[in-house]
Amino acid sequence: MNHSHRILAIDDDPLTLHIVEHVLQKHGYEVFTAGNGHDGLELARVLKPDLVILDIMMPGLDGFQVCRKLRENPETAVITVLMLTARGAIDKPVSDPVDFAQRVRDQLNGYHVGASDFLTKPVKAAVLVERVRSLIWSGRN
Amino acid sequence: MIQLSPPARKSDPIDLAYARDIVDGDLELLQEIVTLFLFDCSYQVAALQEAVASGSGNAVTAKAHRLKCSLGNIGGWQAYQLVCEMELMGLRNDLSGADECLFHLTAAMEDIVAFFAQPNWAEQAEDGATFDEAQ
Repeated sequence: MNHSHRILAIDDDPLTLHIVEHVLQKHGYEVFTAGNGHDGLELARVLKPDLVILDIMMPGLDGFQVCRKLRENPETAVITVLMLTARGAIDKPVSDPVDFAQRVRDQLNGYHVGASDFLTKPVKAAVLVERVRSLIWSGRN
Repeated sequence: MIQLSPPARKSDPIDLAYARDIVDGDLELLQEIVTLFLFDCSYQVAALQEAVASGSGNAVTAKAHRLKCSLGNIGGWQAYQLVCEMELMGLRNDLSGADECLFHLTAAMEDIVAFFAQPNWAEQAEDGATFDEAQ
């Protein structure tokens, strides 16, 4: 199956990039990866992907800064952005007030800089695929 | 229909059923990410130890966060919980319990390495039941 949609994943965690790349390629997407925000911005400008999957917490440019720069550049301003966050322990959703406040702040900041949606890492492949499918469908219509 | 696995027992160093869901049942991909993890994990623990020694809450948050991402992808929950604690210590800028956490983390990481040193771990992953099968 070939959707011929182009996806750029930006994350400093090589395991996450490897998984995202292989899982989405298996579902027919053309996937590119960048290990930091600077490389990701350059690839986004050149490739003009249908979707950017963007980690929030990265050294150097973080996900919010990358997303803001994507929106500021007319060449990349309309690209759909799915943010990945690993804030918080997945089985302790609201147990720590500091953690919870940070997660809420992350989401608000993300929407503020133009993200379309969020996924919490670690992401199960099936969930990732369905979210990507949904966002690309929304972006097309 | 999406099939997701139930959580593992808390005593297991690795939740193979969860790890299998992460890669959509692709055991070849799982073996690749385990190899990447084993290659990288000792550097990440060392970086976290350095961050604790530096006394910088921000550095501890960043290094713990990075290791947390890796551990989540392989279902290493015991170690994952410990680095979550350390990430929070960094966020609160209170590292008073960090040395003890590091001690337990080192032991949990050794358990993970020992788990993946078993020649049959991939076979165990193959045998795991999905959530729907378990119902």
